Amino acid sequence: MLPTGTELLTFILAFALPCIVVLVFMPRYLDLLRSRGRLATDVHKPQQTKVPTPAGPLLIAAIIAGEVAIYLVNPSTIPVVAIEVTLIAGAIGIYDDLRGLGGIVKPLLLTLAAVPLLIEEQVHHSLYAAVLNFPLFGATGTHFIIFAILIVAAMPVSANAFNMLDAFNGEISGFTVLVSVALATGVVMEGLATPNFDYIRLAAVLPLAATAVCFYYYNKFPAKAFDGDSGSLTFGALYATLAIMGGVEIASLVALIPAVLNSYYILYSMRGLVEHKQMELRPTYLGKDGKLHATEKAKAPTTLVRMILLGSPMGEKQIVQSILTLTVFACALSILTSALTWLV
Amino acid sequence: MRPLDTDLRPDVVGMSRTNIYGLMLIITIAWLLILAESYLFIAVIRPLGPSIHIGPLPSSFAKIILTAGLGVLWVAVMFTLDILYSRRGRTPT
Repeated sequence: MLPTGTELLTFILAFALPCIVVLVFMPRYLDLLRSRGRLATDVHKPQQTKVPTPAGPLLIAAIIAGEVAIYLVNPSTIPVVAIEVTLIAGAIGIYDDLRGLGGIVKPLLLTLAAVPLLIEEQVHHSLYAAVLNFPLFGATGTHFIIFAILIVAAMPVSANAFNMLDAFNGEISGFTVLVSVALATGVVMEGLATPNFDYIRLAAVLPLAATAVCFYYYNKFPAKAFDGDSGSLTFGALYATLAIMGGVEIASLVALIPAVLNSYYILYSMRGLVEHKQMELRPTYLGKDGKLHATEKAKAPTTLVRMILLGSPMGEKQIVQSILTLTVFACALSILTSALTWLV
Repeated sequence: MRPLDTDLRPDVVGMSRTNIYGLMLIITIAWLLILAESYLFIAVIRPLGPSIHIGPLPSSFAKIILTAGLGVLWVAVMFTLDILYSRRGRTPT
């Protein structure tokens, strides 16, 4: 089933415009951040390195450019909701970058990102189906209230999962690229199995993937830019939104397992929501050999990176490779889950 | 999987690989639990009495408790795996 000319144009614009925004404007934007002294220390480098931050506002602009292009070619509620969620989560992230938000206030505020989805669904009734499609065993019944509660919960969970994984050069950008590809593959499979499937649900994923791909160029080791919380929270909230609008919630959750496990282990070991700055013991430390070591003390927070490092110190680049390897593995399981949901 | 870095000794590379495989196993178990719990939810919990919106309290209550139980089970298994993994990976002192 080949795409029509309009569909092809939408896909091309949805991918190309965010790429252009990031690749053309990022160098100037980073110069601007440098000139304003908005630099953060890259704590995982042996020598003191300052990196411009936050690149999040430009990433938000890139995503919005892609979603606007989709809307202009084919007016639909889907890109409008994606823009609204991006703006809300982005605004919370920018405030967090500039002033800082507490470990409890941030997730509470992020529930606001669910508002556009809930309101637009009440108005248009075509944004999402209030059912969960499980692999092999079919779908649940339609439950508007329960599904609405799940949507409200999904926003802070997904956004914080992305945020907590944003610790090393290239980690969050690489992770977002991989999970976006898994998400898009799931939506394609659903499209193949569903008559009259709205291709905009697939197109809406492309700006997120394109933005993350191009940002990876600046964010990879050694990083030239940090996204800040404005970037990671936006990526996470938008990912959850696209999964809900695409109808691939379970498969998308599977792709997020490394991030979910990371968040879960941090929350459990810290006994609650705690900001990075408030951690008394760091999960890892930079050794004299220039490699990262797992903190051996039992009270140190458990993170995915600390688990990778147990018994075997590594360089930052190797840690990110390991995390992305785990993410590729989870994404393969996610695609298998989509196949079991839609194609079996 | 290719060697992670040329400056890592083979024993360290081997240990890193073992760590990655161990975490892949945890991810696989998390995924299989999601599939198995999906089956329990669809095949066992969902048919319990009438719909949650129109049913009497006891049936709805059982559905909520059992669904929450599935979540608690997932968390408990992940917690156990974390303990086992950390115990295996920690350097003896």
